[in-house]
Amino acid sequence: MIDVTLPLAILAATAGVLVAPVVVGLVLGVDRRVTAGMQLRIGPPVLQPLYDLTKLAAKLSAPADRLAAGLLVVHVCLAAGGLAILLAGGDLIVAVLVIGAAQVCFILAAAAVESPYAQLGVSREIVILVASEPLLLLVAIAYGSVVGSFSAAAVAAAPPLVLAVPTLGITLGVLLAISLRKSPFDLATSHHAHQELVKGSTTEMAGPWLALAELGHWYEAAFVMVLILLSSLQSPLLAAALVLATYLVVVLVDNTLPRATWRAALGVAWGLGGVAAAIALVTARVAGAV
Amino acid sequence: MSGPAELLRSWIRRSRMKSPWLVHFDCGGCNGCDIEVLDTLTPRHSAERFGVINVGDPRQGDVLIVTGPANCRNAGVLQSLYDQMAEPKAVVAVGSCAAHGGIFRGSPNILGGVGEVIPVDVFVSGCPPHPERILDGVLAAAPLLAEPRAERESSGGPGRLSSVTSPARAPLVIDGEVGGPPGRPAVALDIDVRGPAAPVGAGDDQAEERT
Repeated sequence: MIDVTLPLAILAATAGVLVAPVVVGLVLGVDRRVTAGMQLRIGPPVLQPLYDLTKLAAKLSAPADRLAAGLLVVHVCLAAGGLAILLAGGDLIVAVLVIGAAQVCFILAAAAVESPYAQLGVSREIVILVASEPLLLLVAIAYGSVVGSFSAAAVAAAPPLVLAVPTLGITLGVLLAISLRKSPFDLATSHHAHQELVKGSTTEMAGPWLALAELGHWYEAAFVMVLILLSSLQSPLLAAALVLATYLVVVLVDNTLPRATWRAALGVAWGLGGVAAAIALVTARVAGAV
Repeated sequence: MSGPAELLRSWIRRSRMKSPWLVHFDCGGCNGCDIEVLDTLTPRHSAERFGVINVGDPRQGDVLIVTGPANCRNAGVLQSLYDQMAEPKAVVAVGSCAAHGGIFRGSPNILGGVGEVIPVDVFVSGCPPHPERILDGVLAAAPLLAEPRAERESSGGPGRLSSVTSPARAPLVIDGEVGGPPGRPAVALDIDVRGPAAPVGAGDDQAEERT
């Protein structure tokens, strides 16, 4: 039994890890078009995030701090590893902890340099980590309570979870906003003009190293998207609609809540996402009992 | 065999040209050009449709936008900013002061145009230039980003400056000094809707006296 599934799982995970950056890049490209449309602009080409990543990777930048560079490589490897565990049908809790470790590596990479802007970004990245990691664990536990197993394969095979625990959708939305660094979770560094810091955690990263930081974040976003898909994989239409609806809400909130502070970030994450997850846990307990 | 390698190479060139991130530095002057540069980046002109993003870190930027005249006080800062930027990079000098010192030309602490300190690729004329014209200047610089400067100059590839200027748009030579040191060709956007740049007749004599 294991002889058949293990190679398949490894194959799926490898393919997923290779394809994920392209998919996330395209999703972010559409995201930037939609955002631009909401601001009555035209917006960049859909391929823009992929252009940006390629350009950064091909820049002839001077070497970064050696420790920071090493940590960034580990950051990408761990983030891709977390996604691979999820795609291979592995343990949800392990996958969530690996993603958390990836974020910790990014924070350490940003903390390895002396720039005060980077240090400010680091303290805010920690707030984001503190806000997001418990939510990820709560989602994994809620999935586990309904299905009776923490295996991603078992969750994928289960009937749509989101129908059993509808409030979990809110938590997943908050997590998506966090992974995409949408407002109010865009406080640690800046991608766009409307953000609070001119430059934060990525201040000292340039060229290929900034590309690595971006790539790691793309894997984290892919991780959350797969987590959302898992909640209703048995009905693909529902899954697609769920991701699309969540994404649209996230973009809308991003456009209407510029310049939110880290207090708002924590408030939204724990006040909204946490409470929704807690309700989901209770519902899951009831649903699991039935 | 060269198929995938060539494909990757052209994708990288395309990506570099499609993603000009701006670093803005004001050497001095009256701030009129700076306001126009900021105006260029507002949603009204939608610079992001060309992949343009304003970054605060020279190490992350591709195009250095310089306004104001080069002067003794901050020539070192300008040089340092330029050196911190990684290749491929391009420099766009915005406004009359950045081209040749403008109305400040001839003052004791003024070195002249930005080209006196760093190699300039595109001059955008005007006092101040319109936002549309500044965006034109950035887009004129974008093809230069396809290759690092050394490679560009040695290979004579499509990134050469001459390909940026159409024959109908002959380089505008203001005061005969645009372009900094000899041997460094430069392109000027000659779509000046406000007439020629600031009169520099009086300043010329002083500049000659100074040098």
